[in-house]
Amino acid sequence: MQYYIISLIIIVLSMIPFFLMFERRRPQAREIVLIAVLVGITVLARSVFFMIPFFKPMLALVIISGIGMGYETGVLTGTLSAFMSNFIFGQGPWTPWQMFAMGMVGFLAGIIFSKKYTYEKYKYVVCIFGLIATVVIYGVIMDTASVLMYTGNITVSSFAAAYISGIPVNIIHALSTVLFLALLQKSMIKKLNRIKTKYQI
Amino acid sequence: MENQFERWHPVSQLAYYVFVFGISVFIMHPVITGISFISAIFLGIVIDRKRFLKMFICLYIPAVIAGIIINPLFSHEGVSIIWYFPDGNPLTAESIIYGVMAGIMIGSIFTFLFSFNKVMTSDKVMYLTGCVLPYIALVISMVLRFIPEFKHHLSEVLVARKCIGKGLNEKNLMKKIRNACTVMSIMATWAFESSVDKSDSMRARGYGICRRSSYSIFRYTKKDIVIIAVILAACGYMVYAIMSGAVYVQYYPCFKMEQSKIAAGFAYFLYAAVCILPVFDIWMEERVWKSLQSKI
Repeated sequence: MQYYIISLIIIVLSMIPFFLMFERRRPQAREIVLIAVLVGITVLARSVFFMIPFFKPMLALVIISGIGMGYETGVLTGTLSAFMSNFIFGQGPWTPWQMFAMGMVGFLAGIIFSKKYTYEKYKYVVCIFGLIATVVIYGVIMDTASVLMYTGNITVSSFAAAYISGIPVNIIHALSTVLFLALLQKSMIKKLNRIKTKYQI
Repeated sequence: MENQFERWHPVSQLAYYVFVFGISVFIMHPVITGISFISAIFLGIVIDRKRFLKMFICLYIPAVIAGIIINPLFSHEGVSIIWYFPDGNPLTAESIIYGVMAGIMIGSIFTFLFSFNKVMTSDKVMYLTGCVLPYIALVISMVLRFIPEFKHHLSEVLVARKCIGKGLNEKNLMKKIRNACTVMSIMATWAFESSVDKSDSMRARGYGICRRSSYSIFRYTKKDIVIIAVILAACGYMVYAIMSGAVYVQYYPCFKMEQSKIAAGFAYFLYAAVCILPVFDIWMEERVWKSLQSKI
């Protein structure tokens, strides 16, 4: 369990700089409202699709906001929507891990794509990124967290068991992310760009 | 109705939960973990008996049992061997003890989380975040408003879509998902546009001109000061107890508990006292209420 506490402290510390960066910048009203809207839509999307287990559009929307608005917004949308949606679905020891994992995905999406994104050139690349990010980042982080939370003995076999038993869930989740990216990418990023140029955010 | 514990100041509630979560995760000790589990059960019962018992039987007990079963299957350390699995790995008494402790610890965390989710409502979290990260708290408060607003608008959009034969009750799953995505996109357009209106209205009312003040309904009382002082003192003593090894337990290779009786006993007492504090408060309130009632 010491491992759980130590890793928890590390992930919390790694999220703090992004929040402080946002605080220090004294963001404009438009920016604040836009982030709140993105988080609101993401949380809403999770509750719309919650009937289908592990079929979550959240990561796709986080990736889209990272691409459309840059890495900082990507991190904030990821962490805050994980946090806020857990007010509906229940907070637990998994909350910080979800926040961290989704924030990471948003961060990477922003870092990799936000500068040079065009739909024609990158539509498949973004879908592949979504697939890899869901399995490798979100899936692995959450499976690691579940080992640290529920078993407490750090052995190769317990990690292997968690990763193997996580495969079906991760595959469904990754497929849903890719599907939502394919369906929503074009229209959502177009809308974000429109808002950005029209209102100069 | 709000009970006495829910009326504590959010800071003292947060201090309480940080303390109990921290100790029950950090110290896996038969007595300490037992105290956590029992007081978490009391707290759950006091806060919402019906729902708690349902959750307890359906979710928490299975979680405890899963914790108990999983450990001996994966861990084969320990000296007292009871039996050999068919694949040749030993089943040891130590791994069973460790599994039981881990199971109860997970159970106590889940049980505390039940009351945590009930007590730490989103407005309190917003207040606590606002003390440290005001802009993030502003985003959180907006999201809290947007979720019901978006839900309302979503239901309107869904009805309108249904009228033109593009509802969500399609048989074909792919078609259903595509329709849902169109709805998402409609929602996004509307939400982005209205967000600009909202931010313009914020600016028109002078957002960003000077420091933002925020309203809060919470007030420190004398009780809160006492509670925080008690929790801090207990925290200090528990750290001392951990450092000095008074509550040290060794599970592998053989089970061994530290023998310093007085220091450990005082740690148990202090921890139990803090854990049961909210239950005691609620119970005292009930007693006072009843005695006043009988006088009338």
